[in-house]
Amino acid sequence: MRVPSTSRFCFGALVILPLLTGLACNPFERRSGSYSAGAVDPVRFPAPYLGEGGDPKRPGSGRFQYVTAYSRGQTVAYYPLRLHGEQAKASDPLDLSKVSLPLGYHFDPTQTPDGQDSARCVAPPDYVYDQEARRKDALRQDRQGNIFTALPTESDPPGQTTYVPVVREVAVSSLRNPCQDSKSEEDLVGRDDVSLQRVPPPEGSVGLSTTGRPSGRYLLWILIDPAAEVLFPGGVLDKTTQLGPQRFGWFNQYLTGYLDGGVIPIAPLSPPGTTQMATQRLLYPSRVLDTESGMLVPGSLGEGFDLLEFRRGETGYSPICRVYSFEPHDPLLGFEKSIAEVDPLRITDTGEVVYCPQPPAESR
Amino acid sequence: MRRTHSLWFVPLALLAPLSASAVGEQDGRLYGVVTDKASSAPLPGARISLSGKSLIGGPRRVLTDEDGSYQVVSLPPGSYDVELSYEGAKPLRRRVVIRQGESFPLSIAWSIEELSEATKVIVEERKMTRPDTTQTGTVLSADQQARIATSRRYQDIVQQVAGVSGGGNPNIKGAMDSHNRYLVDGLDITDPVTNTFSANINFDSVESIEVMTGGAEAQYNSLGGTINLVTTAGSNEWKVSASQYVNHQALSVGQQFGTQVYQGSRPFLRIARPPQSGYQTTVNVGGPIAKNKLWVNLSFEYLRRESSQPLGPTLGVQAPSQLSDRFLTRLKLTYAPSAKHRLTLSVSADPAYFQNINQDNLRLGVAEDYQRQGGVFSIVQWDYFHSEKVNTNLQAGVQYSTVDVGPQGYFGTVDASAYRGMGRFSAANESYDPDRPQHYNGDDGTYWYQGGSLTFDKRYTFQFDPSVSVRGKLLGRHEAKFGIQSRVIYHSFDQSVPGGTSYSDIGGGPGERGLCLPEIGQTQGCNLRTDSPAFSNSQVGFSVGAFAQDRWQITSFLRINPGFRFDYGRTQNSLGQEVSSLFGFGPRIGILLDLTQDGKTLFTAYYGRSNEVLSLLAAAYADITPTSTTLRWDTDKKDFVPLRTSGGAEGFKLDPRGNTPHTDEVTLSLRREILENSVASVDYTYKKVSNIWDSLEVNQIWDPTGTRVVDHVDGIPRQIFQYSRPDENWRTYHGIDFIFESRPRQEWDLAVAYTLSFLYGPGAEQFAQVSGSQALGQYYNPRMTHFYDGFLPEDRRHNLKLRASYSYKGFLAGAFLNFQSGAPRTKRFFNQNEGDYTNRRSPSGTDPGQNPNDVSSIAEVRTPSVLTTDLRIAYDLHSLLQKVHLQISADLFNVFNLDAPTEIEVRDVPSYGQVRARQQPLRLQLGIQLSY
Repeated sequence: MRVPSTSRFCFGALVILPLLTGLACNPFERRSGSYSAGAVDPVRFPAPYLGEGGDPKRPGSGRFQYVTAYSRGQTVAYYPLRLHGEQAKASDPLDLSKVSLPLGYHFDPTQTPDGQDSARCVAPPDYVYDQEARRKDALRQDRQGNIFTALPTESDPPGQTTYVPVVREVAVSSLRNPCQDSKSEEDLVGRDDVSLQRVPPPEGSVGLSTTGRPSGRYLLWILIDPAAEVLFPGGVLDKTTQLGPQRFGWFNQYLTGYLDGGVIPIAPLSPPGTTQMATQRLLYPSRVLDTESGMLVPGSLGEGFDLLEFRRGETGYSPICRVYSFEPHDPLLGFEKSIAEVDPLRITDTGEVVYCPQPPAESR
Repeated sequence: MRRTHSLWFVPLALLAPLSASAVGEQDGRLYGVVTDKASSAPLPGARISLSGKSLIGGPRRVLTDEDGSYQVVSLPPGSYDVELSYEGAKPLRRRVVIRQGESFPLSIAWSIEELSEATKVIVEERKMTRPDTTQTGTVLSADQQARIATSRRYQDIVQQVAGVSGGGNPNIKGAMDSHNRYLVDGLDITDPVTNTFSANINFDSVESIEVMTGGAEAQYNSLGGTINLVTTAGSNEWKVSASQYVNHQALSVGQQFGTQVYQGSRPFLRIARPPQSGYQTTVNVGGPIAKNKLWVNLSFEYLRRESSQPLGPTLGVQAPSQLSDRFLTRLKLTYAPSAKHRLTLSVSADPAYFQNINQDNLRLGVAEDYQRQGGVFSIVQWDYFHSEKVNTNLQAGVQYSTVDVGPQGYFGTVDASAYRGMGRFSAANESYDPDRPQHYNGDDGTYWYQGGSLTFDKRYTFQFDPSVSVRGKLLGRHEAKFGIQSRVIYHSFDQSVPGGTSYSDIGGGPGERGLCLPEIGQTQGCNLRTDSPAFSNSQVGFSVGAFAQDRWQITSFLRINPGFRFDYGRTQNSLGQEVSSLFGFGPRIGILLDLTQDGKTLFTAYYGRSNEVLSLLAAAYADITPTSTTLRWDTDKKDFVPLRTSGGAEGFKLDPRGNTPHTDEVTLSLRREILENSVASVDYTYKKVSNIWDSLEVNQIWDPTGTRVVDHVDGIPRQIFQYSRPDENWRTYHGIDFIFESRPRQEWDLAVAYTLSFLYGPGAEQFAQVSGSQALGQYYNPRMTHFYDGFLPEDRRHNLKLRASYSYKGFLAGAFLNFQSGAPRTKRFFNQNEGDYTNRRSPSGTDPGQNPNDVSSIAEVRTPSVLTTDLRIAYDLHSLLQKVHLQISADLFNVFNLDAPTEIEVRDVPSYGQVRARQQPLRLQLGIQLSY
């Protein structure tokens, strides 16, 4: 029997409309824009960025233990991170001109206390950072995390990574951007609710996009497994966050964790054509007392007796340290707590350079 | 002719204490108009008489109305002879097949020519366009099912219907497997706690199954579909039948495939075929105790089954066979003291016993579990045919069921024969010690020394449903139904953990050597220990619903089916706390256009809302349990130290806010009778299930990555679950079904259905956080919640079903083909806090791809498509044996012996993506059926 025209119309509508609707039934399309893609997976991170005991397949298994040092008689905390990969093998590991440094988008650096996330973004109405907010939100919704443009990546074979935990700062000024809304460089440079200097891609270039213009400062932002346990000296945690001195930011919509060492000063007398990081001195006693045996044993970095030249915030502070050992006066009676107390003749240059970030003063 | 009732009767009927209706429609209806062929004038006063083997109480007779219309209601499914007679003329006869829950339109244009053919019996007619309802789905009859190879379980054959996927508890058009209602002769046997089917039925006692997938009228209240069984009644002739079905591993191809998706059989693998057999025996007797007055049908089935997991990883020891024994008994009495009354009593019992239920190669016999289940249920119904315009139905039913689970050694005998004396495992595995705790080794997923928790779980249900059906005229023709549905449910639960504790070990390496056994100095694998005291609790709930549904025929081509229902349900836990007090309003509106005005081309549009006001599942979880303490191994102290607690009086919270869980559904359907006894249809369904119940962990504060718990809201290291119905917990389904159903001749049966569907949303599994499958719970770890919005695990994009059979002179050949595209899977990553793979790094239905921190690399993951083809070949020796039907059948399952993976490894382990399960290999089932 011939199907009436009305039937044919209905049939056609029934077939076509739902199919079109069906094609729009992609739940992933709702994720367009600047959504959180979760935490960075550290599966390809070099071992030093996973923490002690870290397993790339089991995020959170590593631990970063800050240690105690002394600076002019006062205790400070720092994390000793040895140079790694190609940087460790470089003839001049302090020269940044030979390495490709990623950008780091730093929100409101001049209007925000050192080592803190910017609070100049727009928080949700009536937002209160309380226990419930801590439970619900991965990050504070009244702060804006800084944005990274590269992750540490292990080489194949391991040990030859070119990653250097230093970023070239791009200063970003908050205007009316919702907090934690921007999570990637791509999103950030396209926004009109922030202010930053932009560098368009060269004309005719393919695959390149607009980026921020570096401010000229270098920051030690050591990306780590964001799930790793980070502890203040003695295993202490921050009373409010129950976390250590690590900070959190964003990379390509993924949540990252990092150890913030602050601004790296550049040596004013860098040889021509180089950009050398200025260092401060880090001393450790060559002999320490083994409390169990009562014997003197060789000392090493990070045993709680290290001496730093400067504290963070002081002129002369650098998160890069040149390492020296020193002969303590009498380890049985106690240790020097200031470099000034050490006999210069008893100091030996080990030739080693390490990253020695100190946490911001407020979080100590 | 009686004077027509108008709708003033309705409120009175609602108040009548014995106005009644079934929850599920068990009968069909015949209706139509008799006209004079020459003038098209209606013929009032024509006599319509129906008789059939299913109809107790003798033929039913009605007269056509002044407009020539007639209808005969409450007709049990079956074949009927319709006789149309007019005073002074010879009668006209037709034969029709009435299907459960459906209306058969039989309009007759009478002429002298037809009168001359008065005594001719026309072939059986089947009308499947359902011209008076918006309901989608179909009716599966015992007759159809006897023509194809099936598992002989009502739960499985539902898969033949368009829009149905999943397993024994099916997903119907995108709803969860816990969203369906199961009715047997009107009794709601949906489990009060799990909301899944709660009883098994002797397959030979099932007369027909109405599978309603959408467009439900107001008498139904289901977030998913409704599976409505009617069991076989007696008749005026005694009938005895018996059958025996045999399955055995010798009649099956072994399952010896590689673990990679692309690997086929391993031709050089030489391992013994593990036991795999099944023996099903049924006996059915039915007939009249008093002809036309009292019928009886008695049915019994015994099923013995042995199944085994093929030898293989992880333990490489032949797992003990799973042995099951089921005893299914059913009795149905039908009594018709007069033409106005029909009483039906149904009683069922389904005890079953299962040994070694795990079957996963991850445990030795000593760590196996045992389950016993089943119960008894009964319903009595009274149909009262007051007049041609009014009939009532009253139902009252009860059910008791139990599910007891625990270590195999507690209930039965441990089978250690496969490894006793091997020397590979310690002596602790060779005998059962009720006080020895279970160890789980997270390094290889194995379980040791002990089965799981010992639980005794009992459920009780009482149901009372009165309703009234009224037919009349007011601005058109109405067929209205009003009713009240009430249910009281009770659940009691006892649980104890053998040894009072259990271990979750990890890091010590695979196998028994990796376990945490400090008593022998083996501590490498020590991780978590959970101490759980024994406890008991019970919950009770009730619901009351009232519905009104009209089928309003405004003109010959336009119907409007308006309806609504109100439901209220309340549940309470052991503490006397009100866990839920939910009200739901469910409007239903259907519009039906008869495009060709001959009942052959129907376009329907429907909107309806169903509400779930009664479920003890939330109350069962939101109840007092003892405080369980989880301890973590301290490597420095060499001992377990407290990590967190769960349970206890403060281990849960109730959230009185939140809407009632509900489904909104829009259905558009076009149906056309394109051939004799054949219908083709296109159905589009949009369904959104909202405010799904769930348990929200509200005390743990996770680190920003969701890997470690760093603090607690109340400062106490414990888990607190809040039972709630979040607005964000939903699932959405879009689906379009193309269906062709045909029974052109008695010898042929054909049904083809293709479904294109999309199912997505965060509502994957209810209460996953507390049911032990944290990997699926979106409300356990807030850092993971946003990953739970994606294609759901039950999303099957393409589904093709074909059922075909042909019979000729005793020979029968039937086939069922089912093609399903793959199911979404989500890669899971290690969670340091849980010591297990519970975290996600990409949305549901995906994995992060090759570049782990690049969203453009995220890729959808699905299991491969699965095609199964089952075949039945049978021959009936009736021509040789005369009065006796003796049929010999051979059923081939998975005829092409396809080996598509049905489950893959989704954890972030080296074997990620490898096959964990495949479709069952080719097997042959032999059967013999005798009936007299």
